[in-house]
Amino acid sequence: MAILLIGLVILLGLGVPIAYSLGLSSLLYFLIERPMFVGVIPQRVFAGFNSYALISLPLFILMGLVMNSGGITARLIDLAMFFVGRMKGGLGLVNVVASMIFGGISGSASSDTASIGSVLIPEMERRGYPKSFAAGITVASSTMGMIIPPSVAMVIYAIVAQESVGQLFLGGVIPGIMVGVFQLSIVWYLSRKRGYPTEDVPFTLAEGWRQTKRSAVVVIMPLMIVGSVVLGIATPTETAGMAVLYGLVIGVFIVGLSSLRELPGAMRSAIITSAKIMAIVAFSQLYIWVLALERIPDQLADFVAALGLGPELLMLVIALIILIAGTFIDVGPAILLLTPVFLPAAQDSGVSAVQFGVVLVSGLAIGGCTPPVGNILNVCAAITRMSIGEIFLGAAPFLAANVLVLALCCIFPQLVLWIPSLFFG
Amino acid sequence: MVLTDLSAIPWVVIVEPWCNWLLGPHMNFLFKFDRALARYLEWVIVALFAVFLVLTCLLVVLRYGFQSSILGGNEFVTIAFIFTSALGGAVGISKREHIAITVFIDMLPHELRIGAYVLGLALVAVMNAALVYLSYDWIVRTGHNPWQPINVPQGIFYAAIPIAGALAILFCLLKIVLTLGGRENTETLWLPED
Repeated sequence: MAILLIGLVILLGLGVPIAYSLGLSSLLYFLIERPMFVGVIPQRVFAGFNSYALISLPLFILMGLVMNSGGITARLIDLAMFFVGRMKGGLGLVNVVASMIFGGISGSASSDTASIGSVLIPEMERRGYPKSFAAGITVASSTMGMIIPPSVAMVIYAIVAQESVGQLFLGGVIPGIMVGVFQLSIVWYLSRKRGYPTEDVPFTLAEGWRQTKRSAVVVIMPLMIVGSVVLGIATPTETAGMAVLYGLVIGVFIVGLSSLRELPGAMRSAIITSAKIMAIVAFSQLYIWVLALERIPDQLADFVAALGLGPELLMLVIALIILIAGTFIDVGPAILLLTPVFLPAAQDSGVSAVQFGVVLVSGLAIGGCTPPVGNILNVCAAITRMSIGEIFLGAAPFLAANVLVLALCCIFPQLVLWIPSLFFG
Repeated sequence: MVLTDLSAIPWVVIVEPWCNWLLGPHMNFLFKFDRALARYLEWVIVALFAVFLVLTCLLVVLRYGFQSSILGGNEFVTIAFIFTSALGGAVGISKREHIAITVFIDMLPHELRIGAYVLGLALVAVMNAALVYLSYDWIVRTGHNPWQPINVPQGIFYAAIPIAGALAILFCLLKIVLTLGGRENTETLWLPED
């Protein structure tokens, strides 16, 4: 086992892609410890690719890219502006509300940061907000993209943990909304304290109706996706395929033909993004196999049982490990590496796999906003030309809301499990 | 483009002159070949993706609209997905789009960073060579069994692993040669995740 872990750490440290680090360290393990199994390696890698459920991955990514077009983003911002723009720190609040809605459409925090940030950060700067505040709230609020359904990260976890995608989607609803509400409170408090401006937006029934009509076709999309998966109308893969089609129809009729012209590029981006995650999924089969052969999850479960930690304390400890791991590893790989190790121990202590998944994804979402490996920070740095450190300092007060929700989800599982229990019993 | 003086690394001192002597005159060709092959494979992948996207939607429409289906439709979608993922993994090497933790090697002096990158590529090639070699026996033994319900030998689908592995080896070797020959932009070794 030491061969696998030491090999993995050295290879990751050398900058070898995560997929191949997993493959090489596992290959080394089999060559030295269990040479009789070496011939099975290609079969295990093939088994990693051979999953109907995983096909939803590129489709959900493509859906997010298709929906991530300028016209759609502008409509969501206008809708958010109508509801909260007139309050103190209006644009900061708009940023959070737009991220809550956009998170349900794109399923990805990075695309949320790119699309909303490129519109709102320059506008907030123009209206007198400090740039670090504007970038910070954009980065922190975009974490909701991973928690509020549909979420690509939840799909990856559901496949690894062999859990229901529908339950995980529903499990993310309350934590996602709580993150949004807490962040709105922090923005509002800071804006009142610092005297940030309000926006001059007509707040009439007619305007509300107009904005709702303009955005309705977009806003109902997450409801349709979650409804389809939860009610069993279509599989997650079929739902994602239909969502892409729906996104294209909206794109053509709202944004114009440009979204069709951009389709090949979006498809290329979606499939390559999916392929690099799939490479990790495939090679992680070897890593998971080694863990099983060495009975690591069982040993960890026994160790945790001997410590006598309750489920709440155990989840808090795991959440801390997730936060630390998230600062170094991307969300997708971290899900693939941490789930097989910690989920069995958590389940043995009475933690539901759905609660574990939501805590894992919520914790890793925070990791996406923390240096040194914070992809959301990288996207924001590319838009704003600010340093990652500056953006992180701006985001820190808002990320406190994420950490609070993470802790609450560890201590009170019903925050995660209540809505799934209404639908799945 | 960041051209590299790799003279600080002992093993590169040995490899680099040989690399340039053998392949220097062909460097332009290798550069174009790497780009062209990656672009061609990308189009194959996008085409396969388009097919399984359309087929996925069609299967839903047929099921709810016409209470019908396409025999082997789901299986074909799965197979197309396996090939897109496996080939995409190979293209990811050429495009340097695999997910890697580069934070530690980014702290190294430039020459050592490049040395670590080249060593990493060599190790990726070794892993893929192992996959290609081990796949042969597996496919010979079990590849003739039919894949139900489309009744096609499973070996055709298993071939995704050695084909992608061979392409990955090719891309690794090209990248090593082009990097040592100073033809690669080495500011960013592996692109961060989208």
